[in-house]
Amino acid sequence: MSQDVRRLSPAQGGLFGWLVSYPKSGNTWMRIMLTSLRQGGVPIDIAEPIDSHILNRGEFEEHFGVESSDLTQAEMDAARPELHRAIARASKDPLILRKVHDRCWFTSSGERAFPPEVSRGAVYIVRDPRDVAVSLAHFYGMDLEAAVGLMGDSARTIARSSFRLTFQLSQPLGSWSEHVAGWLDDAAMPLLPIRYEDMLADSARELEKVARFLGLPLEACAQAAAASTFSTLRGQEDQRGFRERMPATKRFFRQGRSGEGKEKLPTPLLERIEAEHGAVMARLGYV
Amino acid sequence: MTDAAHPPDYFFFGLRLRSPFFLPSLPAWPGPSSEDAPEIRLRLGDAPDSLPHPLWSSPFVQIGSDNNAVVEIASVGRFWIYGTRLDPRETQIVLQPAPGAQLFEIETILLGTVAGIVLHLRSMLPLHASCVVLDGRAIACCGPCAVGKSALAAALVRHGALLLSDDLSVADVSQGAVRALPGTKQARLWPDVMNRLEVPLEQRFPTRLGHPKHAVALPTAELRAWPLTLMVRIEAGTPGDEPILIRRHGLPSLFPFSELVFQREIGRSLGNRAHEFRHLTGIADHAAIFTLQRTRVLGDLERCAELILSAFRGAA
Repeated sequence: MSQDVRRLSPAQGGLFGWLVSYPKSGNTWMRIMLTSLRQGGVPIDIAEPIDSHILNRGEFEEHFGVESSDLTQAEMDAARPELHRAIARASKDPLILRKVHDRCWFTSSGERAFPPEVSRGAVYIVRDPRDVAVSLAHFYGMDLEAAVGLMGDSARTIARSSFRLTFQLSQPLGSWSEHVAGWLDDAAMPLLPIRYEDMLADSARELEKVARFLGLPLEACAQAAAASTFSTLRGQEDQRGFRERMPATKRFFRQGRSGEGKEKLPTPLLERIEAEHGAVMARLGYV
Repeated sequence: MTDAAHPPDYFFFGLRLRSPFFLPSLPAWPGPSSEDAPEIRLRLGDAPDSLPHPLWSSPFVQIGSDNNAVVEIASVGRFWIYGTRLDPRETQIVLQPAPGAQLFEIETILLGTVAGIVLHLRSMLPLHASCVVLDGRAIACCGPCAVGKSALAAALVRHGALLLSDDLSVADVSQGAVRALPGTKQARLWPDVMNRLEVPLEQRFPTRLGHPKHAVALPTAELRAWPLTLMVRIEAGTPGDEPILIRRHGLPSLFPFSELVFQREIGRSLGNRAHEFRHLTGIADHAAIFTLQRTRVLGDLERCAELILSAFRGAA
């Protein structure tokens, strides 16, 4: 990884360890390894809900005492920083791990959605955007061109719908470049960048980096990584399913390798990705 | 804001509510008009923006230490809820509307968040459930937000059931029986559900300005308490799996309580924990409890309704 990315030590005070990534970049794999690590390295049953989930309406209602579906999107968005603070105040756990797909965003009044004062730090997982495009297309059941278009869409938001009630809270996503650059440059909290490709090369080593950053015990890292290999997770999903899979997807744990984008994307789409995201890709050593 | 034609009093989840303006989502209080004191008086006035030494607070709700609460949704208004000292049977709701607030928006907040707090303050356990009545018996569809309670109730109405309440329900546990009480006359549905159930556009009424959720008037059950014989807890299952309905027994059938009780944290802040336990176990003593595991996609809605109807007939 290029040297301009800041590597800082995690703060001691904050409770939240944010596991941040653009979708289909290895976040769930890291969550499963961390869940295993926190249980001493045991295999995790992925047919059951796994820890460090994305914020949802149930938590919004629990902490705010209000019927969330009677609120407008703007009212819910404005309350996000306070929701994070409320969860931190109510937590008995010294570390709250949460998966995040949001970009690094601000409320309409200019407040950070992820308040630094309750944040221990952010682990930012990044993956070659060409591979992300192929994986996104499978995940959402869309064609490759649509996936590449999605990755260039500044206005893209997950779980914001004027059509159906979503369980997750809405997550402003932005384009792939905006997502990566926003977190790496402007998180205002300690940040640990992790590359998906490095997780593939040595998952135990990358897990240990994350565990050290978050202040977790390191002893069981190798065991947790071995219990959570991609092939293991894929086998589990084939047998018992995985509840975080999208309905349009055949399987969540699909290939788990790098370089697929260069093989499968037609040249015009490869060129489009480089044109739209080349500057950020260069920072991360992807071109 | 006032309407001379509206009924004097409304049936507010089992309580008699007197309102200065028309509340089309609530049934009129049954029986002849009288001068009897209502249990809840809604009036316009100034409401405080905060309460001293709150027991519980959030950006939208404050629960005071003196049997009172404030709910504030900035673009709708502020609701100050308090019990009168002279008559503990009476609750006052003072509404200070926000400039430009629409009556339907006020009604939306009043019949959701505010109603839940009123019920907690009066130690009447509000269930997070939508109820329907079929063959003289009530079915409660319970569960956390966004799991499909209203959609399932509306789907059951398509199978001949009558709507009893939506999202917030009250069950009376007394005299060796459990009975579900009427709530709102409308179900609040999102466009995907309204489209699937083919609700005509002219029957969709707004709940908030620019908000996709709409209120839909459905055929309603007669205004009386109905024996609650089936409680279905809806849970999110694994995508792609067929929905399944499983019979539950005993105390574990009620866990977690947080998925059954509306605004449970507020009730706990008021010290209602023991009451909550007695009430829920009372329901479990009389109603058959099932869990319905379903995905969050609408494709299985009809199948879910069929499963519930099959269990309902089996429990008869």
